[in-house]
Amino acid sequence: MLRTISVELRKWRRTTFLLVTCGAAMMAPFLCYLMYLLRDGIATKAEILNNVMMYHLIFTGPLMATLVGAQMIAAEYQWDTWKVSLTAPHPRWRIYMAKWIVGMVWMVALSVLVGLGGMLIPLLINSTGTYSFWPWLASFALGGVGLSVMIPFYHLITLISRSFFFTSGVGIVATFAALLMLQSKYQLIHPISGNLILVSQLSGGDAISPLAVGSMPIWIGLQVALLVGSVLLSLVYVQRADYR
Amino acid sequence: MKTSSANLFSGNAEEVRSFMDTVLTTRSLTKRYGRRNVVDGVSLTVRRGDIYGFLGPNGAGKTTTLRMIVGLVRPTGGSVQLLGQDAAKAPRLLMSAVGSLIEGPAFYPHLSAAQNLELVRTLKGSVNKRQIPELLELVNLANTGNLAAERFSLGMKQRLGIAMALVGDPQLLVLDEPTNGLDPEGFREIRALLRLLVAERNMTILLSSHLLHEVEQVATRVGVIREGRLLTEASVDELRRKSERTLEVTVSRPQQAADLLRERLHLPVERLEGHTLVIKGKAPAAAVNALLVRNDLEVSRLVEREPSLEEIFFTLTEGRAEEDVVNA
Repeated sequence: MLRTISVELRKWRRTTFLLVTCGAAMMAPFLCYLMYLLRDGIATKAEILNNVMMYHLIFTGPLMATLVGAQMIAAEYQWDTWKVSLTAPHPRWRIYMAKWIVGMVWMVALSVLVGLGGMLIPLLINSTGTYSFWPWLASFALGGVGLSVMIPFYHLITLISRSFFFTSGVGIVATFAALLMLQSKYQLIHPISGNLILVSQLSGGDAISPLAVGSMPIWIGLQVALLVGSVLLSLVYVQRADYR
Repeated sequence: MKTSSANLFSGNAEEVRSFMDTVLTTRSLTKRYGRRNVVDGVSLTVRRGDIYGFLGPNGAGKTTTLRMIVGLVRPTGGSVQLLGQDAAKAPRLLMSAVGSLIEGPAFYPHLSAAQNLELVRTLKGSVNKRQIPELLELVNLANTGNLAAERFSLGMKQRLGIAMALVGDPQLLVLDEPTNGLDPEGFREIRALLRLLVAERNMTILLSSHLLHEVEQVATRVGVIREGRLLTEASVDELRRKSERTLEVTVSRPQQAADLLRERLHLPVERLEGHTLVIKGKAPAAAVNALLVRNDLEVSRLVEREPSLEEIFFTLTEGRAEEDVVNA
């Protein structure tokens, strides 16, 4: 298993896509920085990081998870390298699980990068108070784990559609739709478009989504179902599909 | 495996030798997409040390067959036996003993040749790291350094694909159209490489191509497939023996010469091509020459011709096509 994970990690070396995702990770800190730049008054450091986290978990993070999930699969079709992976002496399930694990690692690493970017903001604007470095970094890493739940879902869509653009379209529409449609009747869309469990935890009783308040089990259930269902369906697909 | 061993001990010496010599066998291999049988009951045998030319027109089912052999496509029916084992039951054994290049080279375009080989080496496991520079040397890519593979020429990409297939010294090398996009020099290099792999590394090669003259120069055995069915499987020499030779005679008055040969020597003159008579079968060249000269006919050329693989191929495939029309 380690060999397949190592190969999955190393195949992204020197790719433009890796640089693009690292650049995209700076979007949330940058948006936050702009907001504070345009706003009067002095913010606390913890407030700044809280806002960066919020932007990341409900907006830039889901978009990044979409792109990473889509590209991990679409690139194999684009480069025609399924042939390399699937003719290696490893069962197909192992090849897919390596992708899922690397997707998760990728999202965690990007979230940590977002956190580090967020920590630069207090150096650029007037701010007060203090923050604990490691607990905040751990929070961002945890946020990445939560976002990585979406990755197998987008893997599955790309496996079926074989198109990076189709999957990205679905992800982008879902993310913006989720931001706009916060009523309970649209709750099914939220697990694939943001990490609302963490959002609700962060914002205490003042959650951004009215759904998240007092309905944690529903969210946990939906996200776990999304994760398990997507991983299983992706595994079945990879296991049974013909690579023509 | 138990069944195979039992068969081994119950067979005679010839059967045992044949079993040990067989690297790949497919039995009634079938692939159906919708209602169409793309591959229909293909049973082929590739023996150790063969360069097996797998021939067929476009859309005949060559690539699908090869994809089934390397495990990229699941057969609808039939089986693939590799080194005496059922590939469906021991897929990992199959994968480590087979190197493949199917429908063009597959590589990570942003990585260098060495990095691509290193990834395949990691995937295959237990392959000596020293093999990578050796392989780069073998396919003449040693001086590409850090250059990304996407910047390679077509021929270099093809050679990288072959090098990737060679990682881990597989027993069977499956190459689908390996000379696609290569110039004549590239053809020559690949031919030399294939011969070297068989002679020095004891590899067995299954090679599909539509360039029959290329296959003819390297293949020891061939299988011909058309519309998903294997029409024949034999050594190139066997096929030639089975096919009819011709005698071509270029003569001053061809019609008179044809009448003379039919009348006196009872030879089947098949056709006239300008001043050239084409006689089917093994005709006595000396007697033909003597007869024509005795009758004041000027013979300017007399050639005994063995059919090329291409001619045999077209006889086989077109013949079947005509049969099908008649049957329909």
